[in-house]
Amino acid sequence: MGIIKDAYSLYIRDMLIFKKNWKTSVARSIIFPLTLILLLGNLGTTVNHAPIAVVNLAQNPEAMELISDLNSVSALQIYAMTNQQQAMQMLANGYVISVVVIPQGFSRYGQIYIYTDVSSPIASQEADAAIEQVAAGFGARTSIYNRGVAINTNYVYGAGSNYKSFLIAGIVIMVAAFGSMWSGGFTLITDRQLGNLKAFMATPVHKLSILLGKITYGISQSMINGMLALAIGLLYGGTIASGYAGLVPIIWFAFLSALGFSGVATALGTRINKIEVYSLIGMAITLPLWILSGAFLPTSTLPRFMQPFSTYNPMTYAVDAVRDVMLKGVLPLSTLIYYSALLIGFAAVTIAISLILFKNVNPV
Amino acid sequence: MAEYAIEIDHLTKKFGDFTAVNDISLKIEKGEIFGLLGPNGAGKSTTINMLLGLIEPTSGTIIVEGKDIRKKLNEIKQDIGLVMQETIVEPELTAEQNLRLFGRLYHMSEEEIEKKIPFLLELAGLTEFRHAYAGTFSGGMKRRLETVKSLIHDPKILVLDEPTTGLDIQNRTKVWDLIRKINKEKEVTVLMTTQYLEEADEMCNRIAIIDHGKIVALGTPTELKHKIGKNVVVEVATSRQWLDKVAEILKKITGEKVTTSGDRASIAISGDAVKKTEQIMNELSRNKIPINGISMHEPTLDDVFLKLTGTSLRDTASQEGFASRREMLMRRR
Repeated sequence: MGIIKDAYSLYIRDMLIFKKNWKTSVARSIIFPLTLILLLGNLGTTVNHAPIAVVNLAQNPEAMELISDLNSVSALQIYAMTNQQQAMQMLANGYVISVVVIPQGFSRYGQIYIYTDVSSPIASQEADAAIEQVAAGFGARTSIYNRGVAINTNYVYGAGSNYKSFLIAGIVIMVAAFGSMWSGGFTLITDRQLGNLKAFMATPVHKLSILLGKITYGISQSMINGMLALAIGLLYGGTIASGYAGLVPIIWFAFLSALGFSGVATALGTRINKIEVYSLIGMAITLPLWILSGAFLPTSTLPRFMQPFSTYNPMTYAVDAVRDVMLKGVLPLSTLIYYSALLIGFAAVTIAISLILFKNVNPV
Repeated sequence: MAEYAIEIDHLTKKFGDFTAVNDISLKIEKGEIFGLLGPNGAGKSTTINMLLGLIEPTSGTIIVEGKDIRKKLNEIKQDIGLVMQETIVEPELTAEQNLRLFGRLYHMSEEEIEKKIPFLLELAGLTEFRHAYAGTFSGGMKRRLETVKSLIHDPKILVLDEPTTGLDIQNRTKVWDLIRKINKEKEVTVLMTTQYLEEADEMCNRIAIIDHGKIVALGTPTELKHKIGKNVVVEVATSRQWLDKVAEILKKITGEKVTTSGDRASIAISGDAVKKTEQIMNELSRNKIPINGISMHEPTLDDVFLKLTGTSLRDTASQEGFASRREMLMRRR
């Protein structure tokens, strides 16, 4: 218990320092997500009246309702069709960028098929996003927990949904994960440089407490950063498909990412004496992981040889889970458990390494 | 009850091939102010770091208040208050928050801490700065806060690693007064390292002169000065190209061993110093050797240091940058 209490005292110390400089700290932590969301979040947002062919094979009231919903979206220009071949021809000729097929026997729990012209990526992606939103809303009218209308999209590019939400999910996780790189591990080095580490180790405080204090501080910073990024994203037009309840899994996965990376950060901090070297190594670790996690683009768009790296990248799962919540509005329990277990395993390994390295850390 | 505050026995610390501390033995009595005097890189900080369990000795034992450091380190840590070479009060915390943090790290109850804070601030003369951020303090104020911070848990021994390095004379005197007050009123044993002769002379009951990891002399300042064995030191300042010539003349007239350092040649003599100095001056002018000054003074600790190590502490100060860098490199290994 003493170890926890000491860790808490050291955590309070770091938080007091944070509180004193909260303006700069907050400014620093929002500038990154803000820039990314402003710059990249605007991709493809100007699509208006994207031409879409809707093939109504069902010819029932539900199908008519869905078409009228689609019609009410200004981003889309709907061409109602009854012949799929004809519609596909229009797609091939470039008259429409997507074909939506409502199959026979369509119901509120049914499926639709989307065929998308990949050669106009941004427009088609936005169009798909609009279609999916309508489809999701269509299902949601009956029950909130309903998966809505299942969508079978045939596209290569884009997440097939609101790119902003897609991007925000990636950024929130990344900011949360890498926030600990620039707080917990970073202050471990500055504390060593300033002699604080030596001063702490001259007190009866257990070394473990010092490390725990840094890890919890790193996590707090990460969570603050992650939540700020989420707030910016939502203010800027991102949406959480599952509503406010979705915040719980988002925070959970942000937390797990922060946990794992504070292990990485403190492990680096135990052995690196120079901030410059730490920054360099930190960048070299975080940037590839970020890209490989599919934060910007779906991992399916990565070159084939890179895809295994994305499979073994713990961030991929956190991003994926948050994206499920924000875009699909649903995260199956089995996925939640599986992804959580992966991330907890990652955190356990990094923190264990950090503990081992910290055991004989050099205070000076 | 232990007889001594600190007993160091055959203590050695090696960093690779470099021996930072070489077979040091010391007994520090309770209630005294003991000084470790030596240039940068002499092994003072390494000794202190071993005393606090921050680095492990290569060999030898350290007993603090009758407790072996290898067995009862945590109890020893409660007995020692540390003031480090680097001023490390946290600039982003207030004076009060700085003290409170360390009270907690020494496992004091919140009530004890709150009772102690005003008392310590008073002692440091910082009562009105209780809620001010330490970053706004002057160097001397920071050092005073750092000093009383190390007293929060009522240690029996106060360890100060170069407590006044980088302070101006006025602030230095204030820190000295504070240390004396702590030593006297709170009956705290003080172990301090310093590279300043005046500081060692002024503050310490006993001094160990340490150079290249070895203790070269140990005793009260007066005892050490008597080690010179002579009562007057004559020092001639000249320019470097004349130094050898001056040394030759000094040697010829007095027959004593001449020590040179920088642009000065000095010699310790007994007997009629005035007469000998007159002879020296005559001889110098006869040889047309330009000099910048000549002085006679009682032996100082620097003369002792010079005699024992062949270098002057004043000169090593100019190599400070180099020495501390070397020390750091060694420590990093």
